[in-house]
Amino acid sequence: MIIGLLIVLMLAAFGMPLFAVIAAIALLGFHNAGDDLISVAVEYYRLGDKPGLIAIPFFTLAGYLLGESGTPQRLVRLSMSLLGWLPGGLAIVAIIACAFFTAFTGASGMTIVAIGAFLYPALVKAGYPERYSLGLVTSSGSLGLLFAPSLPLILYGFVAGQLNTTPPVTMKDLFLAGLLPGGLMVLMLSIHAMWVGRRIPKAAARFDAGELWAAVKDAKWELPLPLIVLGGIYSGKFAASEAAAVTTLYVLIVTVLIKKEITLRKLPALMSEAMRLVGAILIILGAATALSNWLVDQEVPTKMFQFSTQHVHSGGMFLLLLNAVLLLVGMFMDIFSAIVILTPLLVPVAVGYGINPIHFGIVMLANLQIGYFMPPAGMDLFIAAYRFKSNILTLTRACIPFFLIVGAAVLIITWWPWLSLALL
Amino acid sequence: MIPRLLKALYWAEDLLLALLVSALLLLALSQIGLRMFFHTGLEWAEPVSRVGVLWLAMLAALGAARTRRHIAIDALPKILSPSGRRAAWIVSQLATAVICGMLAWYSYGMVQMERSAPAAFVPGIPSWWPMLIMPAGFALMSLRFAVAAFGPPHEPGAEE
Repeated sequence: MIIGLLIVLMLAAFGMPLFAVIAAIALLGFHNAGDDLISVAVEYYRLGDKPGLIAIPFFTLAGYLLGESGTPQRLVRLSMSLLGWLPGGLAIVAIIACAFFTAFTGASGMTIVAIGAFLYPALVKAGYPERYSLGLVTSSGSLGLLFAPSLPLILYGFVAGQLNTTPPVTMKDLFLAGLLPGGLMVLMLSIHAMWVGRRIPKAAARFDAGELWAAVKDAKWELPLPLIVLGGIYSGKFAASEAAAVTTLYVLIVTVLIKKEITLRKLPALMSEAMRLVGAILIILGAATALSNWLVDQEVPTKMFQFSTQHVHSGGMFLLLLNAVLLLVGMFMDIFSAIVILTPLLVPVAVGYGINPIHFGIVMLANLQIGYFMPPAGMDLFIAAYRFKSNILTLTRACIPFFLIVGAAVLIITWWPWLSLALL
Repeated sequence: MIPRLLKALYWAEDLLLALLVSALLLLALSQIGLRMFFHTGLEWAEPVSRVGVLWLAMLAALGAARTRRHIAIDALPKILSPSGRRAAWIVSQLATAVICGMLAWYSYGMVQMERSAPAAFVPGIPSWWPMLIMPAGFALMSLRFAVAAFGPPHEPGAEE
């Protein structure tokens, strides 16, 4: 078992896809427990027996469609006319637009491509230091994943919802819980942006009511989106998966039929591209279901809790340790794999300490968000390096202030459960 | 000849994915419509859409193997020399092919088990039919990873 595990971990380091890594560990585990390995296949197949999963392909498709349309430009224009007159206005615009956009694209790296790519030159041209601009567009690529309907949020809700905790984790509560903590991050980054932008004379454009009205009219089809996503769920008319279907239909109609920014010819390629991302995530989820089933069978979460209570005596201490562990995990693993593997293990322990599983989920996601722009494996670093023809070292240095700000926000979110739970 | 065949295959694959997600969307929307306006619904819609997501996931994962979109920890290969990276690539892809092969084999076992004690998935369709995607999907993925092992290594960050 130990030797097999070491071989699998070595293969993981060589770049074996994570779903195969997790499946291999599950196969080893079931084999070691003397079970028929058909159980692994049966566990995998249970992926097709769970409600709510369909929200993932739907919201992903909606996000891809929005990314390929003129939405990013309209979004930036609107925030520019609304906030551009503030000191650091353009930087704040970048922060808000990235957050909104990431909520829909689930921090799949699309934000940097769709928004960062055209805001970065604009920031430099407006007189922002190059290093600040680079750090901003790189670190904002994952900003907003606490806002509904981001993919990591749905994935956590799905996995934690299966655990039957008290209180239960529902998509509905989770969507509300992310609003204030996500808002806190946006606010802290915006204050920093004002500080950086205070001496840039060109940054402050004048407020123009005419332009604001024009921008609102330009973005009139995008503006109802948050209402469509959340309104249906909170009015009790729709389940989360139904809201996903309605949102996708709306986005399809707007981008293809009304704005005509996506041609019918391009649609199949775009759809299949979005689905391949979904496939890459769900196949990891299937493997993780099998693995966590084995772990629960071996009573690993219970043992972890017992071990942990011997050494860590308070929930607060546990959360602090968790911050450190998740930071480390986030450095090496992508957020989707981290969620599907860690949630079944850690949520029972957290609940044992009396931590609300919804608050826990928000802490976990906020924490993993940092991993996106941390070396050595932060995905946004590599996408940004490729897009902005920069190198990882420069980008990492540029991201340091953002790392500190988001890190401080994560600590506040961790230690102040009210932020996550106030709206429930 | 072969490049043209491959191109047609990729095109068909993309189209299949697009059609599948469109069908699932249509099904979900008709359920909502039926419930809101006629207070009724299709009884088979829920199990079919759940299994539909699984089929979508498997076919999409197969596509992701082609376009190298599978999520991996590639911190180490990035710092290796070109020949070292090549070696790590061959080993990791072949190992993935083996794992997928095993998953295909045990999925086939699962289908056989289900066939020996058949139940109805929805009226008229035996429960082992929707399972078929598992052995088929993993077998094809195994093949695809084995083929990829002999291609050039993945260039991190270049997919966007």
